[in-house]
Amino acid sequence: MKKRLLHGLIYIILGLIVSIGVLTVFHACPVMKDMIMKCYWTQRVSVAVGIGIVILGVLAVFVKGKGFADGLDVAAVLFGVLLILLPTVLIGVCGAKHMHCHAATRPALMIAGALTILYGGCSILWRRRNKEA
Amino acid sequence: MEKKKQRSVGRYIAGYAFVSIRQKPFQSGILGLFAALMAFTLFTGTLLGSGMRSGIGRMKERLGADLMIVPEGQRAKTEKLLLTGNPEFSYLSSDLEGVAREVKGVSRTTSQFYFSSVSADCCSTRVQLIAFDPKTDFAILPWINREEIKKTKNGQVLIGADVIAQKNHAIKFYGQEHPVAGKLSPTATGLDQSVFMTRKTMNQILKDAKNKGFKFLSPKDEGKVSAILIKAEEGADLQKIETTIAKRATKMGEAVDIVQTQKVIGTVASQFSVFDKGLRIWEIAIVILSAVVLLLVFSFSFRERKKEFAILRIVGITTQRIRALTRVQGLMISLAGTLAGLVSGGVIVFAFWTWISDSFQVPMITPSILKVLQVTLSAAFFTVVLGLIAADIATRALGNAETYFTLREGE
Amino acid sequence: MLIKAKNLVKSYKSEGVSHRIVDQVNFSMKHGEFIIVKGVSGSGKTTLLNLLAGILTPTDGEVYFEGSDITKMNDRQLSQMRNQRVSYIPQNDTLLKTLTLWDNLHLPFFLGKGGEITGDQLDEKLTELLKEFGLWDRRNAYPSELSGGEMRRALIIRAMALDPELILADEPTASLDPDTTLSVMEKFRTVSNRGIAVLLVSHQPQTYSYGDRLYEMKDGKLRPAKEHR
Repeated sequence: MKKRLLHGLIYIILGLIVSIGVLTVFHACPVMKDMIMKCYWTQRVSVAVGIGIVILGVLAVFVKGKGFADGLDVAAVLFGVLLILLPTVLIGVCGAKHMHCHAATRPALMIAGALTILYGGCSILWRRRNKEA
Repeated sequence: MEKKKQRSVGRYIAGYAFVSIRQKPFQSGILGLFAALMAFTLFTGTLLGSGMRSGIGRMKERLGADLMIVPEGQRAKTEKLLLTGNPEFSYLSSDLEGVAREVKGVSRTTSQFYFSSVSADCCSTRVQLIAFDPKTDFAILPWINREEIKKTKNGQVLIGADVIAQKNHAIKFYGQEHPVAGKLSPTATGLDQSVFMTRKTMNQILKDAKNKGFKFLSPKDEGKVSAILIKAEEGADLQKIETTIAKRATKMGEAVDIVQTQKVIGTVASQFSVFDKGLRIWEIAIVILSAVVLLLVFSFSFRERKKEFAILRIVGITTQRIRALTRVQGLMISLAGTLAGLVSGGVIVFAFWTWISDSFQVPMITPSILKVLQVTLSAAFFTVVLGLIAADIATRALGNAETYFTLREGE
Repeated sequence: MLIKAKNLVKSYKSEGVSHRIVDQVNFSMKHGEFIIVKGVSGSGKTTLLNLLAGILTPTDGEVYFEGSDITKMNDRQLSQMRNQRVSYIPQNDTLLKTLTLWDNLHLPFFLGKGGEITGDQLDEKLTELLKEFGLWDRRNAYPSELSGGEMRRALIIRAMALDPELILADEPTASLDPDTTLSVMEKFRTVSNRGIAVLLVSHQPQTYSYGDRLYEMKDGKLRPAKEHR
């Protein structure tokens, strides 16, 4: 139970950092005179992805079963990939280097995505290794 | 035969140290964390400081003008322009340029016109547009790399290092495309985010804006300039020039502010100096804290293993060999922590380089690969050595306990 | 003479009063001898063994091992002696719990000087001993997985690993059941028959008949004892 709690908590924290972070410290450009930039949509989708990761974390705490745990980690990895692709390929951010979305939002999402992939991946490998041992 | 045993001894010791680390994951985790913190702090602090120092140095070298005449009340905005490129301007008479040229000590003058606009390519923030005179300019042209683009034709623009142009090398303003004639090298100032053009091109853009329903210039401001740049002669008294120009401007009925560009740099430099001092204090604090924690946790950890070390002594292991074991353990933890600290530091510093520079409003130049390598190795060396020393001191403190009593404690 | 103690004294000061734990012990032992020292708890048996192993420094007197005075040896020399020539099996379980049995048995070789033997020769020897002592199948087990008797047998194997001349054993059969006690004593007998001298301390009467000679430690003094058969 302790291990599941810690594991789930890590996902919950990661998810909260993404969804809250992208609305506060790492915010996108504000809407100006009905002009909505693509970074705004990146921000909104990222919030949703962050909430998704939080939900995965909650499920990880309460639901047992190795197969289920593997599934959660795979889902987390996919969310991580999504976080990287959102500000780069899928939607994108403003082009100018000094725009806040380019300087802060984009790298923050990419790092959060990489961390999620890393943690999810390691979690799967660790469980596999202990299974064999 | 001896060679074979030597190789195996090393592997055995490494294996033994690794097993000892795994045995106490929490303690090992704390040790690794503080080693990582030390490496992270040293690495990021040194790189950021170095980047800022280079940025200010570059700014000093290349600001071009010694003095700038701007409309009264625009001093702060001028400083802001030089640093961040954020625009907002009013205007003054172009006749002032001729007046300034005649002042003793003035070598050259040129005028510039500033205007901010929204560009389709440059998203939600306004871009600073700067109109300059290619014939008299000395502030912008030195930043251009190639000879052939020194003559900027009408309709063409030059862009700052951080401005992103369209693929066919053109930039759109109010529905009209303007070919990009060249890109300036980085200045570490707000000029990196500006677009430069001739006055004629600027007027065309203003007209296009008017056609789209944007009215930026009132009739009274047409033909005026935003700033007059002055290059002084070698050894000239800038204060004297400033006073003379101010007097003559007042006579003309023009309310002006005169900015000495070196003073702007001075402000930035002193801001950086405060930041740098703070950074140094932070680094020292972290190093001391980490060293203390490493020493305490190693000491605690080895004290817990007194019986284990007593067993080693009983089977004939020398104190030197035991110290080697603890050193290897200290080394492994320090290396792992250092690696984690350097990687995370590198990711954060380089991913957020621009944001950090913008947040502190201090120009920052990205360090060369050689510099990064140098900083990495220094931070790694320092952290690893400190970790080793902490492990060594902790072991030495144990060495005095008589083995017999250690074993007897368990009875 | 393999080992010789001359006027050996070990005393401690407590509240200003000096207490002699080992009091003027004169003792010697030949190669291949099996000597058992009996005595009640607190009689100084363990202190005597620790003095003979060079773990403790005597307050007075000398200990000679193969003619060399060990009280004058430095740390390196003493370590080498304990690594290759004199094996000490202390009273508590002293296998390292983080290593498997196999790795524990290699400890004196890899971390100590190791002597003349090579790694391969050691592996061969340990394999033979593990099979002889019935522990071959347990070589990858951790100490926490071994029974009391298995642990003691493992300690004997570790003590024999580098062909010592003398094994000092402190209560090796304490807290073992009678059958296991006898089995462990048989092993020591086997070791002694191979030419390794054994000095064993015990307070269990059923063990006294295994030695060539029996001594008694009482109030810090060592004297030959009547043998129990």
